[in-house]
Amino acid sequence: MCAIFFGGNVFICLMEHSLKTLWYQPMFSSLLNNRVESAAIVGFGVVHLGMNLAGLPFWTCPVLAATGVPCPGCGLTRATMQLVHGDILASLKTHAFAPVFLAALFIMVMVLILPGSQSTRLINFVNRLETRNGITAWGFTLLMLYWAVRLMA
Amino acid sequence: MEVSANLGLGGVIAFVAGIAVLVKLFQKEGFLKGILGFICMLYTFIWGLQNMKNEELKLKTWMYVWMAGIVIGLIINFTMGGGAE
Repeated sequence: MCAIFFGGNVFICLMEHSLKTLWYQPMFSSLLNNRVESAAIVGFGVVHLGMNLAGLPFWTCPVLAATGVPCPGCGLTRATMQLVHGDILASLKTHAFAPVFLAALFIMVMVLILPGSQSTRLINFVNRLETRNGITAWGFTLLMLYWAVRLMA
Repeated sequence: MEVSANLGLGGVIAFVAGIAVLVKLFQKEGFLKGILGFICMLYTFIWGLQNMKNEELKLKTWMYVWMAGIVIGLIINFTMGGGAE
């Protein structure tokens, strides 16, 4: 596809290449590879969910607090708690990406608690998914579209 | 544009600092992690905490401002008896 390098084609070719590189970039697996970062995210996530369950929210979305406009992730905590309580319909109504968020959190916990070789296998599996299918980029794109629809609704 | 009165001051401070850290996150970690940071500002906050000591990124001041914003927001929130979203 990038055989002809003349004039504008070089630009198009470079754009296509950088878009492909971006799309298939292994983001989640690189996060999983960084144990400290993963542990911090899981730790903060668990504390955040626990405090919310206790009715003591310690984290408020700065975007929502300052502008009044919800960010793409606003409502995920509530939806995840509803999902954990088994209220699937209410959870999907609050934020449709709650199952994805919970699955990601579960994978992070698994990577942290599994022994070395199994943990590496799981990370490699996620890496393959990302580099072959661009699953993370697709997920983010869908989330952005979902956010736009929610803002308009 | 409606700004919640009890979260306004802390929220605005946290928002400004958060955006500054988010810009650094985009520059340092690339587009996808930047998007993740936008979707989940908590990740941006954790990343900022982790990279506070990195002199090149100059995040220290912004992170202190962000933390101050969170604390101010919490204090005002609790004293005024409001609930966070």
